Amino acid sequence: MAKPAQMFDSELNGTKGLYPAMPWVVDKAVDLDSTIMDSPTNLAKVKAGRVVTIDPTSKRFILGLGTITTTKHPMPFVLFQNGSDFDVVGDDGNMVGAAPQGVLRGRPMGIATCTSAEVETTEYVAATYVPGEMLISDSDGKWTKYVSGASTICGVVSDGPNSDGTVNSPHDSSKKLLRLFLAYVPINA
Amino acid sequence: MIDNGKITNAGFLDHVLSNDPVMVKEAADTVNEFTRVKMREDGFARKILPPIPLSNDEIDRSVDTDKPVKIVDKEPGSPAAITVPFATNPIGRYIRAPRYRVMFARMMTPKFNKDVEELRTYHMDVRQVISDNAIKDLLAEEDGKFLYAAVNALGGTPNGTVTETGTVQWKLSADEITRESLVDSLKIMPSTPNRLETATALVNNITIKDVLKFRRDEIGGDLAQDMFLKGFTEQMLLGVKFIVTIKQDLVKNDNIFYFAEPKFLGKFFILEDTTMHMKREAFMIEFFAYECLGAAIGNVAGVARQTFNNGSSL
Repeated sequence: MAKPAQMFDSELNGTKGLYPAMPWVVDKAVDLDSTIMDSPTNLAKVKAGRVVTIDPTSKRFILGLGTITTTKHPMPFVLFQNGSDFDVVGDDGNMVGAAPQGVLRGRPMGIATCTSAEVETTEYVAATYVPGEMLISDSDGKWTKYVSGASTICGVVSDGPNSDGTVNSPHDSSKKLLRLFLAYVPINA
Repeated sequence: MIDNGKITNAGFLDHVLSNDPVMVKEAADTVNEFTRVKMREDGFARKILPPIPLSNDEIDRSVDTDKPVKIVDKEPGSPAAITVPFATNPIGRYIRAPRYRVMFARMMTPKFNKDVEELRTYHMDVRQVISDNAIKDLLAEEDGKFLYAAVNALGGTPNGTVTETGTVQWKLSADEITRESLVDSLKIMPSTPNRLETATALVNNITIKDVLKFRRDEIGGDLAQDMFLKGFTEQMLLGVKFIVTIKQDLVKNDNIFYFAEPKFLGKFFILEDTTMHMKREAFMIEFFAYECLGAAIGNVAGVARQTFNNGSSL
């Protein structure tokens, strides 16, 4: 029997300092860019725990760290909702997601990684992580290790008892989470 | 008249500035009542599709998300009856009916905060200011989203065929607004296969001025005279209730939106009605308004739009 999708298949859990809608959390609800809304493949990548930035041209969320220059390091946000959530994107004719000119634009909420918090997420590139390791995002918004060159550090691994540096999901024993501190450290090459 | 009379204006400020949480709650309740009545009176979305409160046991659930949703049945299409000779069996037709989902999201105002000692120096009606701001902000969002949803249902561009009905339901023409062109525009909705009649028209306060130009020989004596003397008030024209809005950023000049009766149009559900949160902590007072609702155009045949003058102001 096929296993149905669950609400915790992709998740962002606050372990310290992050309780949604608390006054100290720097969150922002921004429309998704047309490169995401016009592509079901990209919309499927919009998942809780993934990293997005605000595109300087469209002023909307795009996946990953965006274009980095010497003078521009877009602030990363970690998503709290999925692109398939009913409060983010509605069906045609719904008020949720309805935007001018009759287009649909999903609007998820992201938490700026300058927020002082420790979080856990399912959305990382599989590898072995150790505490203190600096994290960036790949172009799909997944957390991954920083290696070298210009980038924006948006997290630091905090701990993880498993051999690969992860923690077990409290909701699904087959899933693991990467636990990290949020950060915002621009690095110019 | 909108005034619940529970707390006078002067008393309202005393309640807000009080250290007693019960009195602050009373002040918030006063604003809530005031705000909810105004929301019903001033929003065009709520006039076109009157909201229905939804209780917890009426919400539909999903396996993969805990976001609320309401699934609404649509009337199934029915094949026509046919004339047959005696001894003929009827053709089989298994019943399957379409449904649509109404999704919910929260709408909220910014959170305002102020030191109570500074608030004491204001002589204006604070209750009015708080609720008026909340109403203005929330209605702009509600009405905007509703209209965008309607445009989305129509396909987003004029003179395009709506897939579901196979007809053009947003017509763009070079005509000015005359009695003839206005009546012609009312043919759009009944021309779809659903043959619905228009119940409500939405127009802005600039475009409706063109209707005021209608002469005695176009609309008859008393109405021509009344409109010349008093201007246009919300009323029935050609059997349709005309709603006039000042929101010209949403309803552009030269545009008239048409909607069918609510039962043929869609659903507007309210999970949590407009609520003013008000809290005093030490010497700081904060307040913001929020609501949780969802609305969907479930039947695209219940929406039509006419753009006159080639949509010069689209």
